[in-house]
Amino acid sequence: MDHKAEEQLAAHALGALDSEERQWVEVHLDGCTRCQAALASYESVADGLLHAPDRMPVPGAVRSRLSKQIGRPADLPRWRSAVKAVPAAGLAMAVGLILLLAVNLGFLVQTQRLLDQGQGALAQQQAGLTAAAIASYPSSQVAVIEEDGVRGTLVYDPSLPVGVMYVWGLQPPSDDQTYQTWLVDAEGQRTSAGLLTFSADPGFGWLMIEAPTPMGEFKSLGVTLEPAGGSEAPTGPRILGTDL
Amino acid sequence: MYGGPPSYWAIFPGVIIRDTVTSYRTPDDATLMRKVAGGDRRAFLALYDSYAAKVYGLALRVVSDPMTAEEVTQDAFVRLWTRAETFNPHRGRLSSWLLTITRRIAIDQIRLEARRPPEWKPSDPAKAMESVPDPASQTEEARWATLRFALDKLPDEQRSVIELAFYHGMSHSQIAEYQSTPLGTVKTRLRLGMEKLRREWEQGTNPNDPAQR
Repeated sequence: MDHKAEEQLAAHALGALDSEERQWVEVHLDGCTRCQAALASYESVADGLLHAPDRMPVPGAVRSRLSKQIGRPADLPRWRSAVKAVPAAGLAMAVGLILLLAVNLGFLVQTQRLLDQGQGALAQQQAGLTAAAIASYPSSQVAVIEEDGVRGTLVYDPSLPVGVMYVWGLQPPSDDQTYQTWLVDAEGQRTSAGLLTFSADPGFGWLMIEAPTPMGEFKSLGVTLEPAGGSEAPTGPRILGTDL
Repeated sequence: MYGGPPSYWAIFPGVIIRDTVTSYRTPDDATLMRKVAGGDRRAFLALYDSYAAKVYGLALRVVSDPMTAEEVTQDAFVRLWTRAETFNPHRGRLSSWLLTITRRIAIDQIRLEARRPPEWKPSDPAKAMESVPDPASQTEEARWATLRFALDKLPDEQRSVIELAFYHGMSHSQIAEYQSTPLGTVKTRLRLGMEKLRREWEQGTNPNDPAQR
């Protein structure tokens, strides 16, 4: 084996070789199975170094920003590339399909409305079942919400990242606003827990919370009035809240 | 929601509606990445929840600034979202793929800002002892903790060149210039330090664990 090459393998695995040295080592590696094996063992150390830093708690705002960012069409290059890949004949067919869809638009809108209603009922049923399941756990807890004529309950288990909240007597928001729920940790960091959904019954809202970490890691929950679609961080007035 | 500890899913009765039950399985990373490549946001957030703390920990290790580390973490996950189809599970595990991306972004960031590496601070002895794994344990987390401990134990001159190379993206010659040390000395220190880490690492290899091969 070329000892000069062998001495460079650890540095190669760490990416520390200067350009000329790297090219020279890579040429040598092509014909030396022993050096390939030695490099593989150094590369497994480098992989270990990637994983070695401690896990660190990530501010909740990162998840919120990402969640919003990936929802934007501009961040879906797979769609752009798919469109580019469509040949001319396919494009003509696509235009035809779009026309067909346009003709049936009214029918689709009506179907969608029915579907939305069905999905809303299904989601509410799911929330009810989840609340019942959580409540059956011995360590489950119920936080009572009572503020300015609005009453509600939050069913959760401190060891689980889920919970269900119900509120009664809350004025439904206007079309350009929404009620957004926030989980507040010990450092005062707010993490969005989702937007309150209103049922057909006036003043009855509910939310199934899927928290990033177990609910026990949060000290309180609050509800604010936000622009439709929600905010990255609370911007509107606090409407409700409870300690966890 | 995908993933999560098994006890979490065990609380739900089997009567819950079908579409919820089907999502209670714990898909592996490769399955989730296929879903992400197809535009599945829930799969993406499940992967985020699994790996964000690891990614942020590495980013913070490289850039030493919480705000910049947040940006690096966000960029790394955006790349996971936009390039999910390029991930090949046969070439390695997802965590390595994602952390490699994170390291590159973080190093590009410190180069862009011409930021100097921070002063090295030895681990807090109490915390270091907490992280020393049970010698009988061969889980990956334990092996990574062992490696972290082994790195901390290296003589300063060996540890620092490995850290500057790997966590700050410096080449041999850049390290020599930065430390005002002869190039040959830097090369020797790096090689000796890496050889020690390799011995520690290989002592912890479990030949029966496919994830470690």
